[in-house]
Order: sequence, then structure tokens, then C-alpha cells
Amino acid sequence: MSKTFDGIKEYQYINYEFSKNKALQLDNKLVTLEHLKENNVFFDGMTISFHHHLRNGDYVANMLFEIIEELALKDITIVASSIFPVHKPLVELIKNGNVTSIYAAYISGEVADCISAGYLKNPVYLHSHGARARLLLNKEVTIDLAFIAAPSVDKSSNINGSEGPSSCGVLGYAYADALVAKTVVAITDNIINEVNDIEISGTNVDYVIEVDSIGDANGIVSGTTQVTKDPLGLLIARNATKVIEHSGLLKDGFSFQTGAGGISLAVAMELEKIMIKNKIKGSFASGGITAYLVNMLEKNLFEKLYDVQCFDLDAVASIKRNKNHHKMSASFYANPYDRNNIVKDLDVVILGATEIDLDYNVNVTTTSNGVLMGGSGGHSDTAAGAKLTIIVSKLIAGRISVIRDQVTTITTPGESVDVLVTDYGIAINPKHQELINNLKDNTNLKIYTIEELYKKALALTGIPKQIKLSDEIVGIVEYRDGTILDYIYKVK
Amino acid sequence: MDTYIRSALFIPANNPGMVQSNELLEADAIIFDLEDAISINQKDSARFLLDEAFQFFEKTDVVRIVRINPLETPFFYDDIALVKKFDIDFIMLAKASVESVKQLAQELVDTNIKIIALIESAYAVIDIENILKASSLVKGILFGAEDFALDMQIVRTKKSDEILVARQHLAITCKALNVFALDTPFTDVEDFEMLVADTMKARNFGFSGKACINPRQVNYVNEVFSPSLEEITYALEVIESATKAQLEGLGVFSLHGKMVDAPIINRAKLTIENAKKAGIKYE
Repeated sequence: MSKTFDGIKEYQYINYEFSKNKALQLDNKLVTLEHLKENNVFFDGMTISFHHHLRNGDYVANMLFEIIEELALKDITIVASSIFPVHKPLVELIKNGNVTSIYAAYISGEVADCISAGYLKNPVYLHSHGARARLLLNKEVTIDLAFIAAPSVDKSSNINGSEGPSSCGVLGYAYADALVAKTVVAITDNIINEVNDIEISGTNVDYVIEVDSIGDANGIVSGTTQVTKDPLGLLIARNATKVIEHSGLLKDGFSFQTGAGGISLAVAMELEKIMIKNKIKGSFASGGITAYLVNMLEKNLFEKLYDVQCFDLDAVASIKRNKNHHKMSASFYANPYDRNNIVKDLDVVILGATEIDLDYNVNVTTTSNGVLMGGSGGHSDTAAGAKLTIIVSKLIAGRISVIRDQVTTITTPGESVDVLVTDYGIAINPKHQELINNLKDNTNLKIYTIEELYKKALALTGIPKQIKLSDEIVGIVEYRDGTILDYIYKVK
Repeated sequence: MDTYIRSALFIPANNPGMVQSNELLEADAIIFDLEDAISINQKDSARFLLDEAFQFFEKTDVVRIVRINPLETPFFYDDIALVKKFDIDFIMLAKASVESVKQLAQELVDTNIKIIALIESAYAVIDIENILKASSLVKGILFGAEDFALDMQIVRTKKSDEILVARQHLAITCKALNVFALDTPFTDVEDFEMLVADTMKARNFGFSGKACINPRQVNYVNEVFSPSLEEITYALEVIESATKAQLEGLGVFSLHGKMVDAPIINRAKLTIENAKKAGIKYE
């Protein structure tokens, strides 16, 4: 079941530029936004990046948008790790031509709707988390200014994500920005003497801006992430876990990644029971980290957690106190050009799908109506890296079959997807005949071909009408190696 | 007593989502409820939905049961008139009595539908033998402890000591008359530890299964009423050793230092039979 990945190039050292400001102490870097505006830090046609660790509680990107509007900047390119509904002020900047290009791994909310409606001048460029690190570190995109929300900054202008009132745990998606941007601005609401754990070195920071608050704590991390109570969700999780159990991968040294969705968390919970019962100790769990994986680390079921983003308060608390809970950069996580990337060592990843087609291609980028509503995040990275990629989904959601003849948009190519677990049964990519036979012989799981499952869905929903999209391209979906996977079209 | 029901899940007959996905919920039987879960002004819509659903969805291996309203209500005959046209296995008769069982049995003469008597009053517990003998269509019972407790004016507890005698009396009578007995549901749908303890108690009393009021209870109940892999392994060893002993002309033999005779061999055979019924793959 091992996968190869064509097109991986050796990572090569690039001599990044350093401004003289970077060598200064905090007192000399601590300025105001007014100072930046007056000193030509912002200019027409520039490329500005920001990270999404403050998620839907982020105030910092909106401060940037205010400046763009106030200075009436033109032709700005935004390079964001993700864009959330809180970033709604970006809509007017797009419509007015202030912002004309966007790169992101995930876009939801009104900005996504605005792009689908065709307002952004150039097609949005959607990549994966790993590909973003590649784009930046390889200088395929040059960042003029990184606008970094920083939960804590110390007297040496070192940055840390796990301390302060707006703590988000880790800043893994921002490391590359700090390394490559010509100018790095840290925006913080917490200046302290010394950060516990330096994530971004002060030698990479040009300016520090102190503000009242960088985010709304309620929107940054969830208080708790919750396992689904939906019986069908739990059924899917139990069955996905049985697939893992019979895959031959669940043994000492097992490595695992799952998301923060209700079903994904339920898989972690079921897995915990089996690992305890069979006395299995895994090597690591990775990705966005939740209380459930923290709990498994503390029960000694995994040796380490590799965390690129904390999803809940327990994960934030853990990363501060547990030396086996490691912070990691997006590059170390999933950059295909980083020879140590973690995803290539994954045994199993659990992922969701908005659509999956008969070739196992998965869409998590657009709705079935073709409207942008998400993006890969780490989806295509982990699917490519893991030995076993399991998609968990209800067969029918909102009266629509999750299985389609062809997905509306390819986010993750089918060659890296191995199993689909639904409430009506399981489909396994035919290349895994051994696994199919094993599950049929040794379990009660309902194993079908994906065509058979599709037929079951259509029997309930009827055949859906084809959605008509315009020919105008509003987005490009790029695979992790830089090749184009698909296009997103303007919605009629 | 061929019917194999470890778990029987109640679902309201007017809930389209649950009616549509009923066969996915892993219960051995589904009880489509027209009685307590349906308010008086929803009785018609529940019947209508069930009618549509049974016309659309083909019957699977999952046992279909419809709980109808009791004889004393104005809905009893309307329920029967519709439900007897369905492709179902059982009608569950609420507040079963000798009289209501006879009335229902008459209505079902030309059908293949059998009856499950819902025993939920002090009198019905005492009269269980007559209720079971009122018609040959009665193949099983469900103990309804909540209504029973109301009738007895006693307080229900999680430990269920207050229904001990009723449970044991019903289980023994059903075993004696070769009908299956389903235990009362456990009503705290968040306490799975106590659910398992309560279900194990019911299994040890002789109940063959248990009703569930939440789909998340089903898996726990199925597990308690299924032989464990350890039990299956031991049963296979017993059967293998018994076969050898028989060839050597031995009626009694020793396995792991314990004496094995006919009752233990028969229990081992029953374990394997139940494992097969539960669909457990053990070879």
C-alpha cells in the first residue's frame, strides 16, 4: 500500500535576504501602524502574507485590510494560509480592485462567495498546506510583507504562539513567512520579558506593533472539540476503525492523523480502545491536535505528537507542559520538498469529503453547486503521504449522494485515496485487493465496489441534475508538487 | 423460537430520517412506534409515513416490528387495518391482555404477522402465562418497566432492584413456554456503563434481548447478548474435545482441569450457534 510521489525534488538551501532592521532589539523595532504607513512599508502591487492560527477569532488580517483601504493600495496579492468568515472586510477590497490576487489553502465564508461570483481580478490560487511552505521557501512566490499575528513577543522580539491572552498553541503555518518575507511585522497584544519556547526568532522580525487585542479567544480555539453523538457517525467511526485494525498497520510504531470533525474524533476514540486492549504503542500522531490525541499521548499510546495547529484548549495546555508534544512547521509537516516531512511517514489518515467520484478523486474545495467553500488544507498532503487514506462520510448528506460520477472539483487525486467508509457500507480502491479479501473473510463489514455504493445512493436520491457553471475560470487548484489539478469556474 | 433479537430499537414512526436509516443502526429489530412516541395529533401522519416507507424500502434481514396503540384507545383498529398490509414480522401490542391479544390475533388470521405482547402492568405480569397462551401468534414479549412501575406506584432506579421479581418471573415463564423475552429499555441514554451492567443482568435472568430507546445503546446491547471471542474459543475447544472423547467412548472428560459433561457440551454448541446468528466470524 505504499505510495510513491512523482516530482519530489531535493530541498535546496536558499540564501534569504535580511534587512538591517532584523538585527535590532525590541525597543528599536517597536513602532506603530502609523509609522509603517509613513515609511513606505506598504506600496501598490505588493504581496502580503498572513497566517490563520487565530482562525475565526482573528483581528490582525482585518487590521491589514483597513490599511489597504485607507491607503487606497492597488493590485495587492494576499498570500494567506487560510481565509475565514471573519475576514469578510476583504470582500470590498476585492470588489474595488485593491486586492487582485489571492493564494490560500482554504477559503470559506463571504470571501469564498465573492471569488465564486467572479469579483477577484485574477484566479484564486488554491494549494495545500505543504505546498504553501514549498511556494514560500522555494521562492516561487515572493513575500514583500508578512503580517504575523503573534500571541507573545519578548524583549528580543522572539515570537511564541502558546502564551498570552490570544494564545493559539503553535504558529506552524507562519514559520515560512517569517523566514522569507522581505519585511516581517509582528502584531501582538502581549509583550513579555522572555518567551518560553521561541517559535519565530527575533532575528527574523523587522517591526513589532503592540495593539489592545489580536483576536477573540472564543474564535481562536474551541473550548472543547466534541465527538459526534450521531449514531450513524459513530457507526462510520467504528467501521473505519475495524478497517484500520485489519489493515496490518495497527501495531507498535503505528502513526496516525485525524481531523477535528465529530466522526474523525470518534475514530480516535475507537482506536484508543483497541490500542489499549492490544497493548499497542504508536510512534506519533500529527496534524491539527485535539484533546483526544492529547489524551492518547498522556495514556502513552503514542510516543509523540507533532502539532502544526492546536484545535482546542487542551491541546494548547498540553503543548506548553508536555515535552513529547512537539510544535512543527508547515514545511516539516507536509512540504513535499522537505526531506523530513512528517506526512510521508504516516500509516493512516482519516479525512472527510464533500464529494468523492468513481475514480476516488475527492472534493473538499467546492460545494456540489461549484461554489468555493473550503480547500485542501492538509487533505492532499496527508492522503499522498499516508499508507492508508480513509475517507469517512455519510453516503447521503443534504439529500445529495457524496459519491458522484465525477467530482465538481478535484482537491485530492484518487490515486492517493484508499478507502471510503459510509453508513451504508465501505468501498475500497481496487488496487488493494488483499485488504478487500481480508475484510470480506474476517469481518462483518459490508464491502462494496464504489459503483455499488453509488447505485445505493441513487436509489434513494434519484439521479441529480447536472450543474451548469460558466466557462470563466475563477480559481486554480494546485497539487502539492505544483502541477494543476483542476479549475474552479464562476458560478452562474 | 427461531427469531434472533438481541437488540430491538424503538424509533418514532413519524421521524423520516430515522425511518429511512433504520436498517443501518445495527439493531437486530426495529420497533416502529405508533404509540407513546407519537402525539395524538400525529397518529395519522405517522401511519402515512410508515405506509410510504414500507412501500419504498425493501425488507432486509432486520426484524420489523410495529408497536400499535392499545385496545382501549380509539386508534387500535385503525392501526391494525393499515399495519396488517405491511411486510413486517411482528406487531407489538401495547398494554397486552388476554382480551386484546385475542382481538388482535383475529385480525391477523390471513397474514404472516406474529405478535409481541408488551407486558406493562402488575396484572399482566401475574397473568403472563394466560396472555402467552391466548394465541399461538404470540411469539415473544417485551417487559415495559416504566408503565409497570407507574402501576405499582414505585420509583424506578438505575439498579432496578424494584423490578427484580417481575423480570425473573417473565423470563422464566417465557422460557417455559418457548417464546422470547425482551427486557425493558435502560432509560439513561448517556450512561453506557450502567446500560452494560443492566443488560448483563437481563442476560443472566434469561432474557434473549433488550429494547433500546437510543441508537447509541444498540452496540452495547448487541455485545452483551453476543458470545465473546473467549467464549467462542472455549466452546470450540469443548466441541473438539467432546468429539475426540466420543470416539474413545468417554461421556465425561477433563479440559483445562475442569470436568466437561453433557450440559457443558450443549452450552458450547449453543454458544457457537449464537455466534453464527450474531454473524461473528471466528475461524
